[in-house]
Amino acid sequence: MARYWPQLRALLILLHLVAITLMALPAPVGSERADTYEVQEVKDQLEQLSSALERVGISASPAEIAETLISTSGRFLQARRAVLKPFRPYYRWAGTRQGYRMFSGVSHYGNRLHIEIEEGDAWRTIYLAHSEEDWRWGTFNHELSRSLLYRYVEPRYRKRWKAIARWAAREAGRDFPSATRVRVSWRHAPIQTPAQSRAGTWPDARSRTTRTIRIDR
Amino acid sequence: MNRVGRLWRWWLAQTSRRETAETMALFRIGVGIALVWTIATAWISGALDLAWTDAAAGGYRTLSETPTLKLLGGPTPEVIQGLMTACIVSGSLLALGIGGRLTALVALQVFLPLTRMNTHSGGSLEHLLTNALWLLVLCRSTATWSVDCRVRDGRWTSDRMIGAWARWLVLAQIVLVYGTTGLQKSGSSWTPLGGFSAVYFALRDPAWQRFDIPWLGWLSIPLAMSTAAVWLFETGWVIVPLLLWWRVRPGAGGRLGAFVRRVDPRPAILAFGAAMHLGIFVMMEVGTFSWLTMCFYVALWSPAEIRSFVSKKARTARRSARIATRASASPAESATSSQA
Repeated sequence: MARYWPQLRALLILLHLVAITLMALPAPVGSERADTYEVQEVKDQLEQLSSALERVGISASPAEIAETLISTSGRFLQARRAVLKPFRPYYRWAGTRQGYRMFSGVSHYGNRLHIEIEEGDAWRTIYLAHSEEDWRWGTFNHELSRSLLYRYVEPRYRKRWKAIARWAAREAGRDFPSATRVRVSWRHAPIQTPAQSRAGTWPDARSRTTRTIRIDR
Repeated sequence: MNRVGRLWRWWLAQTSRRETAETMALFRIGVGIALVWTIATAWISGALDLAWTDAAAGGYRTLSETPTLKLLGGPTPEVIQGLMTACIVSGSLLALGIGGRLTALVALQVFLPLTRMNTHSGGSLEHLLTNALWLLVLCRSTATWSVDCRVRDGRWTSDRMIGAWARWLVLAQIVLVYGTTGLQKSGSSWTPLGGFSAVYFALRDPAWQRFDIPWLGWLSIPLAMSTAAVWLFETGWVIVPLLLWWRVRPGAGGRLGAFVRRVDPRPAILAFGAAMHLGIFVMMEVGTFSWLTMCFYVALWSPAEIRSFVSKKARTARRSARIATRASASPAESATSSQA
């Protein structure tokens, strides 16, 4: 065995490199789902791409581009799954899973979590991201929480968003015994463009996604 | 011998090379700290209540049961807190260099279920950390600069040799991280089409920013330049192994090879990477990602280079200490002589 160890080791190192490289190679995960194209940022990107193609004489509407992307990425991901299948146990048990899509498409819309409680007839803010109202600030600002909250703005995670709202209402009900209802909202707003930032103006199109939950005591 | 045979013999020779363990020891210390930091902050901040608590115990969702979690009795608060404690203990032992590969294996196996039970609450940081822990399972990173070394050899340092391939795997991992993240930065904000505005918008996104800077638009030109520079830096990592190879191969790599043999590119790579990650760390909340990524940079330097750097610094520190001792002793001497 000791005689063959250098050969075996060289082979195992090679397999490791193949396994991690195949998994890390860019893959259009998410592009195969139709609901991805409902996200405002993605819609904007498709508009931009469509007009860029128009300028070089190729006519393709955002809907046509989306359709092409859905079918090609679906086929690509299917092939990828087949290629990665033999390595799955290695990814699972050795923790060699890869995935480094960091800030690949930077968002132009900001979403801030806003939590209010109703005491008597008045609503009071207890948490608003990046403000002085900082109930459970540590919880919402940790990287683990930010990762999931960042996802749950998307329409496809509606169910999870409702669950987060119920959780926040339960926790707030415990910490504020006088509260009768809790309102949990996403405050959506386009991020100031550099020009708006210089002019000190703010974009108008603001909206809210709100869940109001009665506290059962 | 045919081409494949020659290539295999070359690969065999490369993977059989050995070196001392200073680089992997530094990597181990950094990764141990990253694990403790990641888990301790999740605990202290209360993020555990939101991200890692099962619906049955008051969490917002039912957590996935990995085989390890099933074996331990499911994702109950006791089991999760037990795994977190084990992570903190094994991460500390890893940093101190106690328990060799076994500690790294335990750290990996107790951390993995935490990363898998709620996949929405993690991402690249967790991937990078588990990969780092696996590399520490594969090599003898406690050969030097460790408590293991002190117990075994009676001193903190050792000339014991380990496979040089371990350092190359660390390098391969960071090349993959940067290379693939760079290649996937395909959104228009990273291109002239979006005015190279990606860094500006990333810094203004409430999802990741630590604090908002409303006047950041005044820096839009330097930020556009940094967007292009970040993209080039990240994507450019794919040629770093080649640069390192050319540095030690006279005549290889044409003009670029000759250039990197004349001018060492590694300090510049480190300086840019450190500045970028320091910026991310100060401006954005991305956990221990910046620290952990910087840990991988040690693989750019061989153990011999790290050793020579450390001994040079130690000599300078000793010399400064001697000078300081003499300086503090001399007023007393002069006072004694004047009394005489």
